[in-house]
Amino acid sequence: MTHQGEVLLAVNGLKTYFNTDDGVVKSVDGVTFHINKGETLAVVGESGSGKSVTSLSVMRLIPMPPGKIVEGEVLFTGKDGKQKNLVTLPEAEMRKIRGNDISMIFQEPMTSLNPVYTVGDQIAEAVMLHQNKNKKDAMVVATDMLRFVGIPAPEKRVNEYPHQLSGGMRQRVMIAMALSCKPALLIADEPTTALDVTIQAQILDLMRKLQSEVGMSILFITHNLGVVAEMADRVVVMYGGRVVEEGDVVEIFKAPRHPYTMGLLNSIPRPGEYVHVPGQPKGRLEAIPGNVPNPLNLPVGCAFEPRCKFAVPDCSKAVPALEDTGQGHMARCIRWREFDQAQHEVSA
Amino acid sequence: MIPFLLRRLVQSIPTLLLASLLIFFVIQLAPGDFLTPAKLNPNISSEQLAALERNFGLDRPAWQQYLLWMGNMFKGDFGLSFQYQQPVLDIIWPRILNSLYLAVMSLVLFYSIAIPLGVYGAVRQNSPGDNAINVVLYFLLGFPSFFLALIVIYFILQLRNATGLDIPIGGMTSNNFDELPVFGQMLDVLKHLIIPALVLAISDAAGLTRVIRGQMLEVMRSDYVRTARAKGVSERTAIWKHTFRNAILPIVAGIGGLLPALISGVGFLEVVFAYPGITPMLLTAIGTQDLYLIAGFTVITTVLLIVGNVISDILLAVVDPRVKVA
Repeated sequence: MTHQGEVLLAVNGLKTYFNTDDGVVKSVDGVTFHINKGETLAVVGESGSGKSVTSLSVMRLIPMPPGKIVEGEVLFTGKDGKQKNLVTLPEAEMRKIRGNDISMIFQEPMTSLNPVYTVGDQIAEAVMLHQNKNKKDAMVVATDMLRFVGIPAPEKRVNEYPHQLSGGMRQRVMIAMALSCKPALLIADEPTTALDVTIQAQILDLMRKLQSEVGMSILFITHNLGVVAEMADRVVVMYGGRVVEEGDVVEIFKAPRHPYTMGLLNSIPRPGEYVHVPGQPKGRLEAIPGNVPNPLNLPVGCAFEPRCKFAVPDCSKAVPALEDTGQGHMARCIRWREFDQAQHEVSA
Repeated sequence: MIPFLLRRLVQSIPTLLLASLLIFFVIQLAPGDFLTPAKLNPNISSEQLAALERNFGLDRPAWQQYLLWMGNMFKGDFGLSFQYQQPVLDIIWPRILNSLYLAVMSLVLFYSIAIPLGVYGAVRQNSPGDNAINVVLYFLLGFPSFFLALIVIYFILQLRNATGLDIPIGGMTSNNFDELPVFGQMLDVLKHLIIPALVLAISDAAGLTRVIRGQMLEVMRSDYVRTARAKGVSERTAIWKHTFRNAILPIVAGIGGLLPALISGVGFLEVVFAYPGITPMLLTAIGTQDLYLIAGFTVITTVLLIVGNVISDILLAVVDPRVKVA
C-alpha cells in the first residue's frame, strides 16, 4: 500500500554535529528522506546510528550547544498549507509548530511525563497553547483525548498524577497529548521499546487505529524490524549517521540490497530456526559481528565495511553513493548489483 | 493530617528525652558548677554556700537533678536560671524570638538570592555571568560571617559619614522606638534586621546557589522537560513551570532542618551587631554554668528542629504529589 500522495516532510542533506571535548561527533551526516501525507515511514538502526538525533533535529530539540544543525534543510508543509524550512525558522515560529503540526512521543513513558502535574494538566497545556482555549475547555478536551486513546474512566484519570498510572497507560497519555492538537506528523521515537510485549501490541494497534482516524503521517523510529513490518509503508535504514537503504517495506524485507539490512533481517528470531527441536541440529541466531563504529572516528569509506562479510578492498576507499536500485529503492553499497543478481537467480 | 501530626508528636518524645539527657550530663562533665566562683570567694561563708547549694538543688546527685527537672518540664516549668533568678522560659523565649526574626529574615534573603542566581547559572551554564557569580559567591563563602560583618560595618560607617544617612549598624531598635506607632516600630525593627540578615545570607549563598544550579541542570536534561518543549511551550514555561518546580523538591525537604541551624548561624552576627538574640545570653550562661538556662535552650532548639521537620514534611507533600502525609 504505497501512498503516491504529496510530500509532507522532506529532509534534504541534514547534518547535525555535536561538539564534544574529544572532537566533532557527526551524529547525522547528510541524511535525506521524505514522508508523504498519511504515510508511515520507519527509520531503523542500531543505537548510535543517528535515528533519534534525526527526529530531534526535525523538531529542533537538539540541545544547542553542544549540538548544531550545520547543513541541510527540513521542508515541512504545515496545517496552514504553507511550506517552511524548519532549520531556519525563527524559534517563536518553531514553537507554534511543535505540539501543533508536529508532535512527538518518546521511548520512556515512565519518565516522559512531569511527575508534579496531573495528566489532564499536561494534555491541557498543549491544547491551551495551540487552540486558544481556556483551562476549563482544555480540560474537557483532555478528558476526550484520554477516552479517545482508550483509557477507562477518563473523567477520573484526568485528575491523576503520572505515578498513579502504569507504563502502558502513561504511553497512552503521551499519545493523547501528542494527538490533542491533531498534528499532521507524529514522530514516535521507539514508543514501545520500554513496554512489555502485550502492551506493545496494544499501543501499536492504537497508533494504527488513530492514524486512520486522524489521517496523520507517522515517522516511526525503531530498532525492532517486527514492528516495522507491522507499522510501516516505507523504511529508511540508518547506519553511522547516514541512510544506507531506503525503500518500500515489502521490497526491503523481500530483497535487501545492503549487507547491514540483510544482517538485521537475519538477526530476527524465527520459531523453528533457533528453538531447539529434538532430532534436529541446534539452530543459532545470526548476529552482526562487532560494534557500531566510534562516531568520532568513522571509517573513511563505507561505515559498515569493518563488520561486513561482503567487504572488498574498494569498500574502504570512499563513502559509497546512495544509488537508486529501481522502484524507489535506494542502497548505499558498491556491490548492490551483485546482491540484486543473486536474488534474481534465487527467485528464478 | 491530624493522625500524622499526633504520630509525629509521639515520635518526638524519645528524641526530646535523649537530647535533654545528653545535654544535661554533658554540662555536668565540665569541672565545677555555678557556685564555684562563690566558693573561691573568701567573703562568702560556708553556711551561705550550703544554703545556696540546697536552694539550687546542687547538693543532690546529678541524676536526681535531672529527674526533678524533667518532671517539672512536663508541667511546662523549665526551671530557674541561677544567674537571673527568673524562670528560664521567661527570659530565653523573647531572646529566641528575636533570633528567629533575624533567622527568618536571613532565610528569606538567602532564598531570594540563591534561587535566581542558581537558575541563571543553570540556564546560562558556563557563561561569563555564571562564572562571575561563582567566583563572587565562593569568595564570600571564604569569609567568616563575623569578619564580613565587620567589613560591612566599616563601609556603612564611611557611607554614614559621607552622606549623613541614618543606617543602623547595631541593636534591634532605635532610641525613639517607644514613641513610634506600631507600624513604625515594625519598620524600625526591619531596618535593623536587614543588614545582619543580608550579611549572613550572602556569606552562605554559595552552597544553596550551587545546589539549585545542579538540580536545575539535572532536571533540564530530563525526559519530561523535553516532552514539554516538544509540546511547544516557551522557554520561560519550560524552565520555571517544568524544571524549577521539580528542581526545588529536595530543597523543600531540607527547609525544616535549617531553622535551628540558622539560630546558631545568626549567633556571630548577634554578637557583632550587638543584637539582642539568644546567642550572647547563651554564651554568658555557658561561661557561668547556668545549668537550666543552657538545658532549656537546647530543649527548645530540639523542639524547633522537630517542628521544622514536620513543616518540611507537610510542605513537601504540598509540592510533590508523590509524597503522601500519612
